[in-house]
Amino acid sequence: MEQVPVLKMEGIDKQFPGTHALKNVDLSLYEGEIIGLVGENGAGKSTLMKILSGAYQKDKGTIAINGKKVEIANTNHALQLGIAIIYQELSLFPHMNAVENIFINKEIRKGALLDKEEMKKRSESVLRGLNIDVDVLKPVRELRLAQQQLIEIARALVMDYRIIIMDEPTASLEDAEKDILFGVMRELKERGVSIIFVSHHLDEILDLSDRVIVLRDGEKVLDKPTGELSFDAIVEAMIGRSVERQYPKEEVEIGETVLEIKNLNKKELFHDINFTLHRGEILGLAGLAGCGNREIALTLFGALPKDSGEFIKGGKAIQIRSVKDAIANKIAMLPGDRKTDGLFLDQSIRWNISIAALKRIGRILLNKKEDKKYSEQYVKQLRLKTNSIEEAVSSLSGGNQQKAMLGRWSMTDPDIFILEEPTRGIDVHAKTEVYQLMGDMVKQGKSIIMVSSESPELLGICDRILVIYEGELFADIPAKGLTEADLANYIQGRHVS
Amino acid sequence: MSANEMVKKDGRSILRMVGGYFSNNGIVAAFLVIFLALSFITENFFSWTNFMNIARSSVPAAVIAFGMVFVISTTGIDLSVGYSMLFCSTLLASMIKNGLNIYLAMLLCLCAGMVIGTVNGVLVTKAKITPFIATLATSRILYGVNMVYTHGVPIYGLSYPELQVVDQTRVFSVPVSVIICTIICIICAIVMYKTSFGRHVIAIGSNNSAARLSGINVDLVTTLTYTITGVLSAVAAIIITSKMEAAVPGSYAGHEVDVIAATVLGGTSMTGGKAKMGGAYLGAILMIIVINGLAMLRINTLWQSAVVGLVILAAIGIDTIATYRKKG
Repeated sequence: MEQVPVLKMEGIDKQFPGTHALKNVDLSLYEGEIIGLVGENGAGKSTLMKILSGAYQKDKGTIAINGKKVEIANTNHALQLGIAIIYQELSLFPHMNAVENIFINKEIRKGALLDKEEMKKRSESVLRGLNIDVDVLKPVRELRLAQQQLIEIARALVMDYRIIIMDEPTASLEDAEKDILFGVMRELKERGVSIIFVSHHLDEILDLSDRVIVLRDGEKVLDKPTGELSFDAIVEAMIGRSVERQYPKEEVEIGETVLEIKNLNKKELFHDINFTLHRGEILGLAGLAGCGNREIALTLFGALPKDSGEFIKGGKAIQIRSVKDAIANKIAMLPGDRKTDGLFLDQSIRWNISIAALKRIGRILLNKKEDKKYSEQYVKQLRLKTNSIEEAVSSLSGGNQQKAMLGRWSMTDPDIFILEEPTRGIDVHAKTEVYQLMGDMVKQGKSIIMVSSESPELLGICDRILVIYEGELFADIPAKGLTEADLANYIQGRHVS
Repeated sequence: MSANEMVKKDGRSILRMVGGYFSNNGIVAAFLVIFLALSFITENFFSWTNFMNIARSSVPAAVIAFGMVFVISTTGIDLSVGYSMLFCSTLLASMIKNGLNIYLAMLLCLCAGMVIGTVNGVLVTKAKITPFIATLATSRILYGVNMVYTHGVPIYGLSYPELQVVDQTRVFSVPVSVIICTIICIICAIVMYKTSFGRHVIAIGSNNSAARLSGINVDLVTTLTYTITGVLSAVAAIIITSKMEAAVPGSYAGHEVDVIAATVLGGTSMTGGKAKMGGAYLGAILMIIVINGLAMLRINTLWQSAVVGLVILAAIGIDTIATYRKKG
């Protein structure tokens, strides 16, 4: 007799404006099974898990739990069905204590009042299982980050959930804590709990899972027992055999050294970083989330103070203590999260473009004509599509918003352009346009540092790639001739022979 | 598209434009409605003398409201302006009483306001105390010091011509204080809309994190908004001292609330990123008009406060609904 899966998703389809996020995806999960779900950014992992946890609604397809069809209406409904999700980002209430956090929205009551004793007892027993010794009555913000992450996990363990989704649960854990978590996962498996484990760390996936599912561009491309797979086989499935080369790489002569970074240190983020940047070069800064590559860029831009180290630009030592210093030294940076760190959403396109270079449109009083002239110039040059430069920047598409950001920083007339995830959340066509604009910049003799988590774009557009692994410069390699598999290995902290 | 359709579309877009103007400027609409209504209903409202009286009465709130526009545009608030004004008034009166040159006394009064404002700004940006709490505390301190110094007793007898000129004389039948207030409004509007500083203020209120990452010195700009408000509180102090020919510690109760009301009534957003300098002036005038109108309608003065409250709710309510509609 065939075993009935605890969870069976069939033909799941989901469209977002501009992207087909999931195409006819099947997934079955059996009792006591751990599935490793992997794929590149944007492959559809998160969307699939959000459908399962009730955060998104599917367009097509069926979901059955223990053979019974269900329509998951919202996150509460998913919990009632016995599906819990542990998110990558912390969703704890920082000022509440561990007990309150663990039992939020599932408080145990005695009559009309809370049964605090019972909740405390249960929290403590769960946390003991996770091998953490904390004061459960302390606000969680006073705990270490890793401990907070474990409390996040405890939330999903305290009730008898049968299916637990873990979305990158190890992102902020230290090795010892990872081992505890993995132990707990194995124990849950013994008890018959089924787990979907989403991770970028393939070694963890290989170590823990019974079966691996790989998504690529919204499609399931691999579904096999882990025993039949190797690290390379998974990477190959993730990136696909034929990688589309839609990267308009310009051949630009690499010139003299424009920037030298010497012994750059920041406690707990990165150490002893040394590298050089040349005129006309596009330099990639790669690495797993939290490896320190983003922080190195922020330090160079003056947004994060360094502990020690030197910046040498054009042969001269420069001091960068603030963003203002960076701008004065002709360094610009496009932050990765346009909406929270970049744009002034309720202001106009013109306003957004000139805000970092107001000096150019007036010494004391701002000249509106000049303001318009520059905005129109950059709108044209960057092929930003809009009816008027007076429209609110919030009305633009992601790609055009990114061009407004490029316009802002082009107006400061930088020699060095730091771009953090320049193509995040924009459609394929706009991506290619951004790459073309990057090509234009280096042709003009500027240099680019690109922080990116997307291997294809790193390989497609960079001249050289620096891989940061756990805060250290792990590899400094020319992009030419580098394969995606090799880059993936470097990013995972493995040497390629 | 047929000609007919085009006309229809144009007609609608003009209507939408006019509607859009008023929904953006709820204060202008409210002002016109109340102004016209009072002009028709009452006999004495529509006269130059009455208009000038209204304008003159609105000055002590309006002058400070111009500073408050800067502060609120950064998502801050300054609750200390009322007692800061009274403190500066006492300071001015006692300096004059002690025989100091009146112009020098005025200058020192302005300096005191500047220091108070800057302290507020530093508490907010460097000590990282939320603006509400920081300025509430300085407000109580200023009130306390004022009370200790004066024992709550007014300082009377300041009938010096150099002081009287500020609020009691007229140029071409316009009170000098109204002229001063209008000039300050114009200067503040230029600073707000035509300088980098103004852009930076809006940037901070619109997206603080993006402002930092655009190279704006967020702490300095924020502090300066409080400094400006402090100086303008001292200007208001000079004006009320001239008006009353005295420093009265118990006068102008709840003045900070009037100032904040005038500011938001004018269309400046409490959530930051939207500043209306002229609106703040109109807001301060509208509140006086309502009080003036009620008197003309012979309605018991005890009703004044409640009606002003209703006008604020109505004007802000219209504005909020209009914004929601636009955002869909």
